[in-house]
Amino acid sequence: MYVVIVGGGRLGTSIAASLAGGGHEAFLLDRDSARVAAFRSEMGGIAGVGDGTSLRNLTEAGVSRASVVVAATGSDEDNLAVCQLAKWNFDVPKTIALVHRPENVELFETCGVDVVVSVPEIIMSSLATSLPAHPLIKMMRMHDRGLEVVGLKIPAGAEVAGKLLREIQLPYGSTVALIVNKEGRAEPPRADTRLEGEEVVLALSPVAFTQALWEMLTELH
Amino acid sequence: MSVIIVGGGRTGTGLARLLSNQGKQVALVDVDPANMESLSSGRIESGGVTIVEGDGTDPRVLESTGIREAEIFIAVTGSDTVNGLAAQRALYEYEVQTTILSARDDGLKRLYQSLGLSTVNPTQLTVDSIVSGVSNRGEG
Repeated sequence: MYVVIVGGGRLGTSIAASLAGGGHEAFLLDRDSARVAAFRSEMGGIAGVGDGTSLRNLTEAGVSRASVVVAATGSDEDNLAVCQLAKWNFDVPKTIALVHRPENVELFETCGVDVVVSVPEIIMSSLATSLPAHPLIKMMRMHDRGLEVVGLKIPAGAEVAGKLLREIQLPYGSTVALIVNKEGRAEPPRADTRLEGEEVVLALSPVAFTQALWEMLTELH
Repeated sequence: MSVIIVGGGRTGTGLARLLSNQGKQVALVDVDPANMESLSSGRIESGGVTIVEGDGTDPRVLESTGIREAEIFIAVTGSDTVNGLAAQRALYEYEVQTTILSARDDGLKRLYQSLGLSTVNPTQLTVDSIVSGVSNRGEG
């Protein structure tokens, strides 16, 4: 698959290198010739100097035959423009934008970007697993279905501790997918599974109800 | 009638002065209002210009300008893509009736126009009006 990555910072170069390593034809486009040269010499990748918000430079990068365009510059506004140009001028089937401000996720989706990846939320989710509190970890978002997979830890003194799973009325559309107990054993949930507290729960939830799900499962008695 | 202008360069401050002199309530948003001395040196005869310090693509900043009640949104920072993002936020998230933005790059200008946003290139407008002035003079 031919993939054009716009933006040769740390994220863009890593994405390009791992796509190339995975057997894809990856092309990195960046305004800065020094970055392009470094990517070529250090990672052996294919790259060109150009501005991803310029029609001419996108044409030269062969965007019209790309299956995917990834906008990975450090600037959210440029990433939106790159994806919109790719979509509307070159009919690229899939556009992916990184955003550095979570409040842009919804706007980018409204603006027609196929997949919006929020960098701070990803970093938070990997940090959150090592935090002592009871954070909500957003593990995966299914953009086309409005669902997300989340992980959370049930506190020891939770309201739901001691209850059977069937006694807990989860928010609309939410499903518990897997329960990992204190000993680290993973069990599929059953109606007669009794929560004890301190389990880690993986759940599937409509995006709009994730907060309600988290509150219900972590509320203290 | 209230107007929000993002970008306090020459275009933004000039528009703010003009519109406020026509009696409109103008909020002028800029990341660095210290650079907007041309506004205070100009005469504001009626209406008023409120200067808001902040990033005009940030929803919190936009909400502090009263964007939910605004009728016109104008994005004229020096960056085409900042203008594009701000204008699309105004249109889709706040449903401002009229959104106008400036784009100097021709490809981006056509993109934003095809998305239904009124897009102008201030440099091109100036050049066109000078050229037509020169041609008219030649003909006259």
